[in-house]
Formats: sequence, structure tokens, C-alpha cells
Amino acid sequence: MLSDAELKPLMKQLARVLGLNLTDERVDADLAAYKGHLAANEKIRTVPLAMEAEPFVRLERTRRAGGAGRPGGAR
Amino acid sequence: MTRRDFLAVTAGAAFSSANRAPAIDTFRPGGQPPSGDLVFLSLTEASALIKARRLSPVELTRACLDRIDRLDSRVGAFITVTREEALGAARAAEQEIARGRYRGPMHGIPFGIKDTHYTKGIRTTANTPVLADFVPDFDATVVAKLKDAGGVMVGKMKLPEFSFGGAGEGGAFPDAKNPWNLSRTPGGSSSGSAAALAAGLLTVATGGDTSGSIRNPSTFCGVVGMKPTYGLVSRHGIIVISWSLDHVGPMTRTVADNARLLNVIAGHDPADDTSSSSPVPDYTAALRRGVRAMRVGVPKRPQFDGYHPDVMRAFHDALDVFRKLGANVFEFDLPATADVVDDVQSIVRIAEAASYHEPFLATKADRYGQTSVRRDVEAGSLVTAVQYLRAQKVRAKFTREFSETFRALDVFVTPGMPAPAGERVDVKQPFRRMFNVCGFPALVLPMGFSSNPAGLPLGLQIAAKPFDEETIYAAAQAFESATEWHNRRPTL
Repeated sequence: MLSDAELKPLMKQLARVLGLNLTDERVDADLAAYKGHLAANEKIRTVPLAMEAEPFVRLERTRRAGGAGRPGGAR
Repeated sequence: MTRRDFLAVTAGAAFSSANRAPAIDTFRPGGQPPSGDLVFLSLTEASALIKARRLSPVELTRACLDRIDRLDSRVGAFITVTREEALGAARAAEQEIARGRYRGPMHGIPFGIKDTHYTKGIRTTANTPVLADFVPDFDATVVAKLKDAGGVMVGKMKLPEFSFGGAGEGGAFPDAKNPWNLSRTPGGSSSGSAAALAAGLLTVATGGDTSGSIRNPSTFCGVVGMKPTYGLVSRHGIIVISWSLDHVGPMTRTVADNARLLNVIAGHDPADDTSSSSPVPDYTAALRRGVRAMRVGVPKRPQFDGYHPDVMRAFHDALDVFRKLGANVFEFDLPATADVVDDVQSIVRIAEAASYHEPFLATKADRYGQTSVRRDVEAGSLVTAVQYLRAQKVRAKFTREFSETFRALDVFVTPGMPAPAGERVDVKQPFRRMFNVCGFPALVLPMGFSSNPAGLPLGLQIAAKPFDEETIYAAAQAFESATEWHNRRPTL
């Protein structure tokens, strides 16, 4: 994990690329939330994924006894 | 036709007083009326009386409005009360029913709408100064469906700013209070809907659920809240937190009411590209199924580490109820990806929220309230596409693994919340966001009250496979019929 001193300029530069002007005051206000997002990403990276893993899933009604499967919502 | 004529048509007697706050025992004979105040009639009871013309929609609406006038300064459930519109809609319903054009169970029924749902010509604030002046020029699909069903909208309900967080202050308006203890949180983010139902300020309401925002306040306020399967209820015209995690659902005081309300608001909407094309069954048909031989899965005990002892006591009592009703209750293992599912939810949620908020951050950043919303979405803007897509891949993996788990289950039950309202506990798995991540349906209903602190509602969560809300309603109705928790009312 990067230090706060390393993260603050990174946040400013990322924000500039997005067209967002983060002042020093806003960077200080947002730092804890950003570190929380990075920590969540670190945990997510511990999950092994197959090379074929895709970021989509389609929900469908499971076939019930005597009933037909039905198409569901896409996400 | 006057209201007196409306009631006299079949009841054969004049209504006793048009102006006083009416109680159900003021009605004339013609069948056994339920006991209690009009404002606590269930949708099922009120609609039966309205259909039989033994209850006027205007009287029912006035009873709610009078109670709102009397109590909402303390409960704070409403952002906007639509008094004149409500009375107009109630009069129209009354006249239509008197002409023999009864539309169904919502006809003449007072309802509340979370203030993230667009309402044509009525401000829709999401409790944020950013949208303080926003007046939509169309109704959200859910609102349009309720109006088409003859419902009477009495107002727009409280929430934390932009629906962020469980509950809290700092938005454009103060948050709602918990009617069971006004010093406690009602939960959130659909706080006003749950508080109003518990306080008897309306008959039914809608909520939104991205991280548990229907189930959390429904648990804390002792009402019934359903987060349906993703895609079952349209999101068109709903202020966004996260497109792929947001759900809209019914909130009520009974399970049967919840099924009836879902019947009205569910269904394909061409205006919502994520809307399901599944036909909508009649959910009330499932209410009589019972739970005999139903496979009721409970996560293994370590998953409940840190839960409040009153919650666990009530939960074990609830499992005993299912056993006595003939269900097969057993423990099972969650997939390993469940350990990171809340992290997945937080990244997907904040990345999508940041995209939705991009124009607000660019032009109205200084108008956000004194909450964490601006901070969270600014920081969320810095989440990269690769990070977001990795979270989405893990989400898909969890959903597939959880679907496999469900092959052995009919329903999955947990406490609705790990602790009573306002009590802090540190838990490994709160069992809320996982159902937003996978999109499976989950409902909460009352399962008891706390003893320490005393008198706070506790909730039972029942989840099922995608588009199997019917099995949830079957289990929930069986539990509700075997218990009395849903009949308790707060003292206000």
C-alpha cells in the first residue's frame, strides 16, 4: 500500500485526467475513502480467477418441477 | 355521488361522521370488520372493505393525512406530503368504484414513495441540496403502475442524502426517527417508508435497496420489506446509486400485503434495459403453500460470530417455528467468495455511483450536504476500469457459486440485521449486500423484539433463487401466521 504522501499527488493527477479539480482540502477529505476503496481492491485481488472469467452474469428462473425455465434480467 | 352515498350503496347505512378521524368500529353492519384504527388496516383488509364499499378511500386517506399532521413532526417520515393530490386521487377512486369500475387491491389505497422515485410535477429531492429544486416531468414506472392501479400517493418519503449509508443527518432534510424508540435510528436508506408504516401514517410504501436499504429499515422498524430479483421491478425513473445493484421493492406491514404490492409493481418495462421479460406470477397464490418439506438452509454458526444475543435468540426461535411447521432446517457452507462479497459490492457500487455523479461533481460540487456522499463519489471516481471489472468478475464467480449452493436449498434464512436498531456489533458477515451482488430476492419480516435494549423489533431474512419470490412468500406467510410479532404497534 502506498503512503499517504504518495497517494495524495496520485489522487490529484488521476482526478485531473478525469477533468476533476481536487484541491488539497478535498484530497484530505477524500483520502480515507480512497484508501478504503484500495483496501477493498486488495481483498478482491486475492480471489483466483480463471483466464476465461467474464464480468457478466445472466439471472434466470431455475426450472422447477412441472415448470418451465424462463428468461431473466441481464446485467 | 357523495361519500355518504358511496358507503350507503352496499352497506345500507350512512357513514356516521365525515370529518372526525374514523375508527373501523364506526362502520355499519355488513360483515365483521377488523378491529383497530383505519390507519393500521392492512392493504388486504382495506382493499376488501373498499371493494365492498364499506370503506371510503377518502376517509382512509383523510385518516392517514390526519395522523401525518399529528405525528410526523416527531417521526419525520416525509419529505413532501401531497395532501391535495392525495385527496383528489381518493375522490376519483371513490367515484370510479361507485360507478362499478374497481381496478384491484390498490384502488383507493394510500401509499408512500421513496423520494428517489420520479413523480411528475412533484419535487424529487433524494434528500440532497443538489436536487432540491428538481421537479421531474414524468413518473417513475413504479409510480405510474401504482397510480394506474388506482393507488393514492400521500407523499414522498425520507432517506439519507442520495440514499447513501444506512441512515444519517446532513442532507437537505433531517432523517426519520424510529417509531419504536424516537431516539433510535429507523435504519436506511428507505428510512421514511419503514418509519411511516410502523407509525401507521400510510398503508403501503416503496423502497430502494442497493446495500440492504429496504431490509435494514424494515428490520429496525418491524415491517415487511422485499428486495425482489434484479430486473423484476423497473428502475426507470429512479435516482441512481448503482445501476447494477439498485433494486426497487415493496414495503408493507404484512406478508400478504407485500405479495399484493409486488403483483402491482413487478413486470417488464421497455424503458428499463435491465428489466426482465419473465411473466409475473400471482404472488398471493403462494401464500397458502406452507413450508412442509421445504428445505430451509442456515449458514454454519461461525458466520454469526459477533451477532447480538437477542438477535440470535429470536433467530433460533424462528428456526424452531419452521421445524414445527414441517420444514427441513439444515446448515450449509457459503462459497469462499462470500468472504469478499461486501468488498465487491463496495467497489461496484462506488464506481457506478461516481459515474452517475460525474455531472454533479463537475457543476454542483459545492451543493452537496454535510454527509459523506461527495467524499465517497470523488474517491470513487479514482477507481480504475480494471479494478471495477475485476470486482465484476468476482461478482459473477460468486453468483455462479451461490447458485450452485442453492441447488440444495429452497430458502436461505438469516437474521435481518445483526443487532437491534442503534446497537453496534462487529460481525464477519451481515448477509445483506450479498443479495444485491447476486441479485437474488430477499425479504425481511418481524421475528421478535429485543430485551436489552428493550422493545426494539428484530427481523428474519428469507432469500431464494432468482425469480422465486413465490417460495419466499410461502415461507414468510407460514412464519407470520404462526407468530404474533407483526401485530404489535409502537406507542406514539
